[in-house]
Amino acid sequence: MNAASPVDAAAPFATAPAADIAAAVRGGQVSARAVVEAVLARIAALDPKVNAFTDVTGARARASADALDARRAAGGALGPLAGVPFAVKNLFDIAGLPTRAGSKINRDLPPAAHDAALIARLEEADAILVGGLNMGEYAYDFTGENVHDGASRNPHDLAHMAGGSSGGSGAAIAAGLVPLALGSDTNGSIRVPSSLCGIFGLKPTYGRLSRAHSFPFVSALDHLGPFARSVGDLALAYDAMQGADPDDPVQVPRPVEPVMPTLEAGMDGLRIAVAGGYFRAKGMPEAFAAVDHVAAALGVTRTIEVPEAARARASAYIITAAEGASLHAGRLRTRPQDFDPAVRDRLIAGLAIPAAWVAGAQRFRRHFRDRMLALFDEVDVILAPATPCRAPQLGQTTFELDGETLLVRPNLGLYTQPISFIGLPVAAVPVWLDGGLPIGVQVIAPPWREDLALRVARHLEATGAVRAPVSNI
Amino acid sequence: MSDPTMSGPTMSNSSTPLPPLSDAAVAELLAAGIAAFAIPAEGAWRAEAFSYLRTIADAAQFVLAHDLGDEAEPAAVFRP
Repeated sequence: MNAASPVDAAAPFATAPAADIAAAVRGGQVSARAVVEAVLARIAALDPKVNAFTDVTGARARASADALDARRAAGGALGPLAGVPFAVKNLFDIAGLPTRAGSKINRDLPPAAHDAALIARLEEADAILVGGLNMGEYAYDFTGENVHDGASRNPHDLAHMAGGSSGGSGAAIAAGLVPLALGSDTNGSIRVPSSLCGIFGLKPTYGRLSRAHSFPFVSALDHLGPFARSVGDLALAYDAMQGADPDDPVQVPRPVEPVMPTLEAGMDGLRIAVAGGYFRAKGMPEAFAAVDHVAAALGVTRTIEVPEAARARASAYIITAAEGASLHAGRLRTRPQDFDPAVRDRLIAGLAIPAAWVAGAQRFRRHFRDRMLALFDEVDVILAPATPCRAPQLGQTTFELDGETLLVRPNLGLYTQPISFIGLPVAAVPVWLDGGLPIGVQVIAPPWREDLALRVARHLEATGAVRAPVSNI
Repeated sequence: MSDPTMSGPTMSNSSTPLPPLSDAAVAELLAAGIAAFAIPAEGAWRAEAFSYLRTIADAAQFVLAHDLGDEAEPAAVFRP
């Protein structure tokens, strides 16, 4: 009887948590090359169904894995993400590829000369990049649909949206194609796909992680962060990506504040409340049931009013439209026919916004921040829905919320926009209420307290209240 | 005679709420934006862009209706 090949033996690692892969590679139970081959084989077999990847960097991944295995064989130390395959939303620069940012137009750009800063950080921890991921055009999207590359499909039901704009990131994680992915979140683009795909996502504090060498959307609101199927993997990746980067002028000078040491600290001493008012309206029953499920698991009975959340969302809407339009004005003039029409027409509208509207929204932003910080004198963590519904069907353009017919594309983010407007850190946690699709809950913490959001998320995971299984496709 | 622009409890512009922007005014605003940036917008695009700008205008009226006073600082992005 023939012994299993190294790749066959590594097959279970293709869907293993990042922490398990790293431990096995460091311990010599499996080679990084075998893990990479198993992951590349899984991507080749399943990605045609979910359409998460736009680029697979197989040669680069194999070379990185071989170098890592050689280092281990020579007795060298390996990093905390040794041999962990990961992929990035295609607005992250990948050296040698044009940074398409979900667009047709950017494919004509020269190949990126450098990797994005966060790719470099993960590789310094010995993770291995395996490709770029599908996304909504220029990140102006909550659906994960893309007219140029096709929609990212929800791995738990291929007829449904993965969410956006980091749709490929959500789909790749839920389908078990990689254990770790990166995305961006301007108004909800990490939290919405996390909710619809039933996975964990972390939107760190605005200014925490470097955005250097990624394609922007709205500088005033853009965040980058990780997705995973376990909270521990989110924390491992987040800790590896922290640190000052002089190439990002918006990054806030902060010390590295690792979250791993307190991840298992439990709930002792934490004051948690459910967001009421705005966050208990305009959603389908499952959105509120998911929050109630999480609150019950945590023993939370308090409800707290988030003041002026609707105005915060309106302000984010204005700033997004204006800054996005400013960024793309040249392309709108020279290549308007090459945009996704749904993106182009919103950007054209943004060109007409008076500056005073934007200034007013920025003034309100400061005011809202002050109100929210006062709220955090009373509580440590706030719970809110991540999306108003489970994953809509692909191609669905409207839904009915509180008796009002609304567009899906802008309104999937109605609960995420007020929170990212002032850059609060949020862990999105996946809830499975019944046999249907999952839906997420936002675990919201004060600025720079990612540790609190992840600590609560880990407690929920450890007690079985939330989970992120690999889909059965 | 007192200056009417200096009246009101906070002397802020937003102490007088903006009147709702008419559809005609939104259309004028859009036309100006398209002209200012020399966008070769086709008719169907203009109609879609109008509906988005209508929503943005309503959002702006909602935001600016909240009187923050004259001394409210905008959220800074630039740091010297």
